[in-house]
Amino acid sequence: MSATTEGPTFALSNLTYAYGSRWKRPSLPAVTGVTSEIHPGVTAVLGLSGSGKTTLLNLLGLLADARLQPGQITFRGTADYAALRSSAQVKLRRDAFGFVLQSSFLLPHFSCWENVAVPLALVGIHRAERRKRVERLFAQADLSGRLTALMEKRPRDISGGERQRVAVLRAIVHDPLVLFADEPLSSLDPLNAKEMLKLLRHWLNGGMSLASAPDRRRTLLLVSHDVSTAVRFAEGRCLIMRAGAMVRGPDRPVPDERTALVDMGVIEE
Amino acid sequence: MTWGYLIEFAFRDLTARSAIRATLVVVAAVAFAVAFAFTGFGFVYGVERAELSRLTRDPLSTCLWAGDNTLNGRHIHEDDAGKLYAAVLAAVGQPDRVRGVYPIRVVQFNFAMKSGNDTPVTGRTIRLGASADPLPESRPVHAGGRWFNGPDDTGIVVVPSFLASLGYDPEHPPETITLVTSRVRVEVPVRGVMLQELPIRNHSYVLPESYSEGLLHPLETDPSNSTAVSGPVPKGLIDDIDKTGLDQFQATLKAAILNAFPAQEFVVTPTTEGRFTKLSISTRSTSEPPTAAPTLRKSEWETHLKQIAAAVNWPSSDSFVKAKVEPTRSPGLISGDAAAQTGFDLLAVYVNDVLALAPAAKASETYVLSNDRRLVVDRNVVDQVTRVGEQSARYEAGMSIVAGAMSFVFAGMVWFVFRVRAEQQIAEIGMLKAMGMGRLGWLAMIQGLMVGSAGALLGTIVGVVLIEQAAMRLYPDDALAAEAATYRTPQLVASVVAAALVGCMACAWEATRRARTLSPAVAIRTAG
Repeated sequence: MSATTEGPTFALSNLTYAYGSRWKRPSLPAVTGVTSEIHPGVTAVLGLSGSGKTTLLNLLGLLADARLQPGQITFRGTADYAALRSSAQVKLRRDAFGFVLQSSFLLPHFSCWENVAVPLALVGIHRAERRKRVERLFAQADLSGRLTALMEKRPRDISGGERQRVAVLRAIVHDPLVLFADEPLSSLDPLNAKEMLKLLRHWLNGGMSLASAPDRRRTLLLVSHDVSTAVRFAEGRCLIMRAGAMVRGPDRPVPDERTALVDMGVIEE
Repeated sequence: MTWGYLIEFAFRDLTARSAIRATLVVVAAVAFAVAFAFTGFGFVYGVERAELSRLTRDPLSTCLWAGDNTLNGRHIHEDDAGKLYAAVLAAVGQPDRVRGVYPIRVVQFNFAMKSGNDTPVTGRTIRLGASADPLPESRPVHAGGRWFNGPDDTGIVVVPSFLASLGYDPEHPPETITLVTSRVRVEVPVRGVMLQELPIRNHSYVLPESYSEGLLHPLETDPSNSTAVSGPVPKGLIDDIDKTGLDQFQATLKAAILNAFPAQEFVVTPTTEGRFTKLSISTRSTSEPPTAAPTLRKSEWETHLKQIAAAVNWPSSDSFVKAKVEPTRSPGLISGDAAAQTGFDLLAVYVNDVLALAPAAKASETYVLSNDRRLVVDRNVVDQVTRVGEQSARYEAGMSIVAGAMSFVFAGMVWFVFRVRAEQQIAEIGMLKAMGMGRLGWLAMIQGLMVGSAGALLGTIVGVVLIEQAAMRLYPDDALAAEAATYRTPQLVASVVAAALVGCMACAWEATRRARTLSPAVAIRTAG
């Protein structure tokens, strides 16, 4: 996917963040001095464990308490995170963001379709309409022909890969502008990982009619330890983190997996 | 997000397979606490109500004895009863809480013992009639006996010890006992024997006011009056009157009367009683200004009637000379003030509500009698009611401490279970926050409300059953007291249920606070 000529989804300026609280002194920064732009399309966030990629995702997704950090994040050129009130952050997460994490975190007391429908319920869509939309989503996403059968099942009754795909559906059911996928493939076998990526691509390309504008500019931020898959899926647009600092931004696509591994510090140049 | 979805979410979260045990534990804890509080407080209030109900049912427990604290003074007048009633009504406020004020005379008669000696015994009178003294309700009599039928009834109702002291078996009372005076012996019918003694210790019998009066002042055998009615005028004379005319008859009669009563002035009026003609003759004062008409004894009237009969030459005039003179009472069989004075010794103030006793007592103590004396009130029953109230207050205080401690323990339990659940769900909560779910505090409170409601409902049902069982065991032979002790007023239910609901909501809110307030990133990382 090529980068658009329009403005970035996120603009990061000298972003620094250290974990801590009001009462605890902040530890060493997990992210330091990151300045970059992230445009619609896929951006792979790569790095070794502890390099700050998940922290970066949390900051961009408004999941972390960002009050202690200096630096600036701007969403779509208008929403300055530093100026966002708590309620506005909640609204942004609810309306514009979707999250897929390493674990699916499905609600055990809801069936699969009800789990998928949670974001719709949060924006006040009534049950019948929720059901209709989720049924359509399952049908459109059912590339393997097995997904629809899961609708009425409880999460405990399906496999980990299936749970993860249901989690993806939950993340995209309201057609967010940005999907944050933090190591969604790590617990999946190759076949399920492939299915997952197909699903993400399908959504990114607007292959699911989710009642949004057809020309919607979607952004996928993918964190993965599977460097070759991530580089290939992002077509080289990678944000590579090393010890909290960004060593390569998406504006300088990596030509191959080896370059990415060098940037990450896995292999010597 | 709609409230409906929030409620559905809360319910399904509580009833999920992974949560149902914890939910049931919380419901059971709340139910136990509610049942305990409901039963405990209900029992405290119920016993107080039952005790007051028992007091109220016995009129003597709602009776104040008020006297002027003098021995045989009889300084209380008839109108004092009415005035005190008005004063008590004003103090109590509601007419239906006051039953009445009844005057009592304390009397002492000598009674003949079975052995032949006689002994002085004290008793009291009872006011009967339309507004009768309620004493008989408190003191039923043995089978075969009865209380008085009305104000004109005669006889006495006695306590068992009285009969025993005279040498009789209270189980088989005599039909009459003998009242002895210096002049006469009177057989007094024994109407009934009370099952219990009278509340005033030295009172051994009760007799109607009028009967008592009769015993104190019996009818004169030769009454004295200013008017007498003759017997029927002989029938032959009526025929003569028809022949000679009434004027002639009256002239003849007047001459005869003047002859019979030379120094008196009389008014003679023929009267008709049924088919008989009689003469009504009255004396008249001759002094200026006129004083009270002179009186003649019945025997004197009959002497004069004989003279009249002789003067008018009436044959067979035996019936005519029988004078009918209104009966008068003797000055008294018993000498002393008690016989001479017409006042009362005591006033019995009865209320319908034991809680009205205190204001009634106060009103009685401040009441000033017609002769400027003050009443002294026996506060025994007031103290009894106060004791019940104080005992109830002590139990209530103790119960409050125990219930407070238990509430603390159960609130801790509820908090702990919610806390453990919240910690287990911390990642889910983080994920929900990541998805933009707000109102998580409300979600916790709704869950608290739900388990609180279920627990309160269960606890109330158990509490009702327990309190009924407790009341029945405490008052096995007194259905009314058991009913009164079954205390389950809406106020008590509402208080206990409200406390349980608020407690559960507060516990749930506080227990989930940490999980709610963590940032989604930290919550999700914590779970990982």
